[in-house]
Amino acid sequence: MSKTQSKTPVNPLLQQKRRISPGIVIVVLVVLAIIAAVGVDYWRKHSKVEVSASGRPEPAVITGPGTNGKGVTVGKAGARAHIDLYLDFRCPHCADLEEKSGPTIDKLVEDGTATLTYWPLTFVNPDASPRLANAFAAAAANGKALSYADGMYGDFSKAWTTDQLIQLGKQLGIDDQKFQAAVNDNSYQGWLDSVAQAANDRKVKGTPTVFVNDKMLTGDQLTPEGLEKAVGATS
Amino acid sequence: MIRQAWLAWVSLVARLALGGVMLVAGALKVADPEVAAQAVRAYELLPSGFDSIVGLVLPFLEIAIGLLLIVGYGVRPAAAVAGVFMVVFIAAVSSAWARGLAIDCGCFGGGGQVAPGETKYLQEILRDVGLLVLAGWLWFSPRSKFALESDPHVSTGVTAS
Repeated sequence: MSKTQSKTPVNPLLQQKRRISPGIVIVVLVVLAIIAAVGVDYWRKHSKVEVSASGRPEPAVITGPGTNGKGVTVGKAGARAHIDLYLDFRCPHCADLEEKSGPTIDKLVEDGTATLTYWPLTFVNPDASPRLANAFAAAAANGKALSYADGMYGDFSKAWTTDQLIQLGKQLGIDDQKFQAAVNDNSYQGWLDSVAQAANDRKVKGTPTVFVNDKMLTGDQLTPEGLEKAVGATS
Repeated sequence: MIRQAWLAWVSLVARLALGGVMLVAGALKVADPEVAAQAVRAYELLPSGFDSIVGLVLPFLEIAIGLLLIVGYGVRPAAAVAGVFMVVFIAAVSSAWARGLAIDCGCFGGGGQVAPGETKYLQEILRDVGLLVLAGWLWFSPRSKFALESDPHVSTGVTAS
């Protein structure tokens, strides 16, 4: 029927122009924005874990996780200084610190100048921080404290689902059932609570907080130079 | 008529300024939803879970509104949405200030706790008030130079250039 319809010429000036109303465009854009957001969320939760070989040596774990009120200490026993790092794996400033000052801290630990104690706290993102801290503990129990922490900070925008945490462990060569069970069952929760308590007793107000030889550093000392100075000054 | 032309130029500036800020603010946050969610969480206003949703969706909405304003399409409704955003932002920052929180607004990425002496609440509110004024201007005077769409009140489709 439409084919046979005769086309009478119309005066374009009189023709009612079909215009898409801006309101509809806005609704469409809002829907697109939500679809994009859902897509990003899916990607964060399902993207592959890739460990960039940082080439950093893995320091030995001196004190593993699980001792109540004690953090995870890595490095060489007998180092003259000790660094305490209160961190949360979902804290953006901690990721910044790790990016900027991480290599310096690693060097101090590697050359035996200082030991490093991780105190993983879990308050920044109540939905995710405990899961990441628990996985860190499980990795530390397998001697991979530093590289596991680096792996999580290195891809901060990833959601780090339980699957992704187990994948990260695999990439670092932790491939045993016990690790997976510890990640799945959140088995270090009790220890993490004791770490939080210890941090509270020490008046740690936020993350990152760094102590060098039991002295809390100020915010402007949290630079590679500031850390080196603080460690050097204690010799 | 001369007065009209002058208004269209002011509206162009308002469009580009408001749209530009929205676009930049959205673009800086869109790449890291975890940081954006934490910026929202720092306000301690939304129940757990909602902060992630806002952190995820808000940057995309800001980009969309910013683009509409910059190209000049649907200026009036886009300005209305931008105005609502600004009112919400001003209310949120004011409430953080009133409750004595020490946070960065996270407007352009970042966000979260800052040292108590480093808050910039007044600047943040004044900036948002300024943007709200631009949004209000565009609501009342949406017709502007170099817009993709003509004056919404004229249905001929002739661009107002």
